[in-house]
Amino acid sequence: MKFYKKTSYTEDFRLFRDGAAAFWYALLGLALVAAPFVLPAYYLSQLVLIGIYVVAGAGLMLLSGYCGQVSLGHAAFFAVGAFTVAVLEKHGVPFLAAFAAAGALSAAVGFVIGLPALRLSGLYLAIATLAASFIVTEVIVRWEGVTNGASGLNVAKIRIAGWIADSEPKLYAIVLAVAVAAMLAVRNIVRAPLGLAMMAIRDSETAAQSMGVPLMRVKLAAFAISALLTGLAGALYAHKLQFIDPDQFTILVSIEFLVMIFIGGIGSMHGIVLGAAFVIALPQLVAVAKDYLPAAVAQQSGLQAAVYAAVLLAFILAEPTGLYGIWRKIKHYFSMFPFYRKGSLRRAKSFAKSETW
Amino acid sequence: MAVLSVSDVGISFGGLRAVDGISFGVEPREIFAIIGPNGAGKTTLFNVISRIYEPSTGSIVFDGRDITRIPPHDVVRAGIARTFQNINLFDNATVLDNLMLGRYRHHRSGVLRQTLFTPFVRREKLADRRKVEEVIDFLELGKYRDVLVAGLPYGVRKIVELGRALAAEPRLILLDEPSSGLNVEETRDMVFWIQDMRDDLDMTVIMIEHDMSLVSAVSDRVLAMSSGRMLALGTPGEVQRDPGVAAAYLGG
Amino acid sequence: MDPLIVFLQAVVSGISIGCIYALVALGFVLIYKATEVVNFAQGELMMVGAFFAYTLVDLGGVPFVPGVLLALLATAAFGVILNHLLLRPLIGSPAFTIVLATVAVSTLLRAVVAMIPGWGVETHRLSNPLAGQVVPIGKLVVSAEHLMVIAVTVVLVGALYLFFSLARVGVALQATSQNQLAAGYSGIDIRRMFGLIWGISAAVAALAGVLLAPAAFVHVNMGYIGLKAFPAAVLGGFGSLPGAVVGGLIIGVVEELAGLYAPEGVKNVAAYVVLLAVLMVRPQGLFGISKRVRV
Repeated sequence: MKFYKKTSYTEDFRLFRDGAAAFWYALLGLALVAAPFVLPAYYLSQLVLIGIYVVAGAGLMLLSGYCGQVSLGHAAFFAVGAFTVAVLEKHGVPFLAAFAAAGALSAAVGFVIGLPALRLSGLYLAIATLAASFIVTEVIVRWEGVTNGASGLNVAKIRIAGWIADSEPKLYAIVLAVAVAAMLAVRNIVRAPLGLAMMAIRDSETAAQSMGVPLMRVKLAAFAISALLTGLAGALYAHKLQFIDPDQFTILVSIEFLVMIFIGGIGSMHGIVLGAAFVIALPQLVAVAKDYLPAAVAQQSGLQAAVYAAVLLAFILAEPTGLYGIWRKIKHYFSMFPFYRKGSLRRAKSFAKSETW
Repeated sequence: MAVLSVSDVGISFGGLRAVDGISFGVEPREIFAIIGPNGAGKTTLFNVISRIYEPSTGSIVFDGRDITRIPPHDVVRAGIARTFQNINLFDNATVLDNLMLGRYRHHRSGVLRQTLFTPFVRREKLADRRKVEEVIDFLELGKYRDVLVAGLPYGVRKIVELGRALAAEPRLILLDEPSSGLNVEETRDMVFWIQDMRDDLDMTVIMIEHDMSLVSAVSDRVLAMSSGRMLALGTPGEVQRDPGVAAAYLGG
Repeated sequence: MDPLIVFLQAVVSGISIGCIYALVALGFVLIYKATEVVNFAQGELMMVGAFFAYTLVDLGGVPFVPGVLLALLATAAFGVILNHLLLRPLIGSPAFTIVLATVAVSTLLRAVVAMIPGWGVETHRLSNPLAGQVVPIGKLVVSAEHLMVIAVTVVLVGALYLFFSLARVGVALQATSQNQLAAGYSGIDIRRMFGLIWGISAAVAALAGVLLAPAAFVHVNMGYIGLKAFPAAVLGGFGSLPGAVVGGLIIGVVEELAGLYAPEGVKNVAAYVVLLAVLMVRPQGLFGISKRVRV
């Protein structure tokens, strides 16, 4: 078992808890940098997707995991980001400018939706975001002159000044940089007063307000930042697929995002990465499992959705702290060995009070 | 010159007048108690002062400034912090984080600075951390610093909530039943802390309290309420001798 | 054709589809009021109910009316079981968890229905005695199916109203939804009430499915119509039963009129546009009361 003896106040809000943690993150960083040189192309491509989902997940985790607000429409921001970058680049706008615009426009859309919905209980935000997501998709389908409607758009390769990201490792480099920046941004917010205010809102709005937290402003900030990050993820996604159409951004994507942060572990930074890896890996696992299933079941188109839903329900009922919770338990088990007792890591089972909404 | 003046404040829910025509002034560094049977409207009055409820009549002036219509999150910025009758803490955070939130009103940095965690944010955070440590020392919460609030005993949670209000460095603090649920020893500590808040921290205290021995021990003046109205206002002795007050408690 | 007739025609079919939204929204609000669970699987309950009816009437050869009644009972039982297995353990969980759980249930139901032989992903026709008949009212020509939808909804809403204000169990349910603790202390079995409310709600959803079937067929994705019932419920003020009905009707009529007068595509999102507009102007909905926090 490890004990922490703090010697300075800054230790309570450092980026990494201690030297050991910083060491492991440095090692992880090295592995990520080395990945394109050692991994086969297919796995690198999966890693790119995970990176993109980490960016979106960081956004949604801030909103749902830390601030406690549920969005059922994050696919809309993903779509706004993807189409903004695609349309602007088609008209000759350089990538970096288009990328920034994708984030800004997503945040602006988020602001417009959040303004009415955040005044009310969380349920209204869930339904308003759902509604907004349908509207955004419909606009993309109908605004054919700009978005090319349902037939979709081809997306060129990323080009920064003279440099072109014409191979998977180059795309990977960009995605990795954005993912790390997104994680850092969210981690910084979480350890800054703003993050504390968000968590306070999640646990008790009344108390947060009485301590001077302007509820509306903080929720709106969380929502806009969340939309911004998801929009950036969408812009990267467009470049990864090189072809986008409105069908790629349905409500199922919004649900996938929620599944991602829930299974990763609500309210934890690790959960973002674990969840993204899970969501990308699951279809592959289902594909492998198909070979061992009876044909009648294996050929079903709904199989993947069924597995998603079943896994999600299993987590909700049995392990609401997600993968990160399991990881903590395993770590705890070994650090306490042989004195581990079931329940010795028990903490508040869920992240929020059973406040009605 | 009163630091807080409440004039003719009233509020009704549906047809019921929960608080009706309450007027009083609290002097700087006064300890002012509000007593009354359950349902007298004491907590409702607190909720009106801290702007959770909208009063139907009257005005509240704090420190020469009319705060009757300011947004609820500006109340603590104006210099008034409070605790709740049924502790209202952030259960999934540590004691330290709960206290750190008490410092929220002192922050100046915007979203961008915080996202980048600039040296300015770090300095602010460090200053907060020092201030919070003073509160931890004052309330002897050191051994609970990194414990999750959800797992703490009731009495400690009560003190953590007091600490969160103190961390805001208010000029006026509203305590809703500070001794309820505390054991004898904790209640005795509470008496000392309330006195220290005035003597060492220069605060004005308004508290709702049922424990008459605590009220008599610390308060300068007492307001007795019943059915939303004022019954009596004076020193603890005067109020206790008031025939109306005795009738309200005995006759219901 | 006379523009007025065209307009009225659209209003009638709007009211008819609005009734379906209203029924799904009713079930949604019933569950929310009593258990504070926001059931995003309400549309899928409707879909399951329609499949039950299809199986009994068209595959099993049971006559229409008893077949449908049996299907309602079966869906009610299904709702009770669902509540028992999945949602009861979640009471008191954070909103986030409950949303995810019901969303997962809806995904799972769709996936499972798609795998059942004879149901699958094909479109099925639920035979019904009124198919193709029309009723002329003055210059209007109204399909008998639309009239049936409206008539059944009126009867059902009336029956629900009487049930909740007169029947002993109905009053107990009302009490439960207003104050669980107090209801519990007065000897009402809260758990049984929750089961009952899920049963009623599922049966109402199934009825909506049967009524929708002539217009939209029986199909694994028909439950997506539930996504328009949420705006209806919010529009009505969420906790309000009459609000759910009015909200459903408004959305149905607005949708049909948008289809008539607005550019293509607006009809698909009319419900959501109305919803966002209402949230901006009157956030508590048409019949909602803004709640006062208690501290």
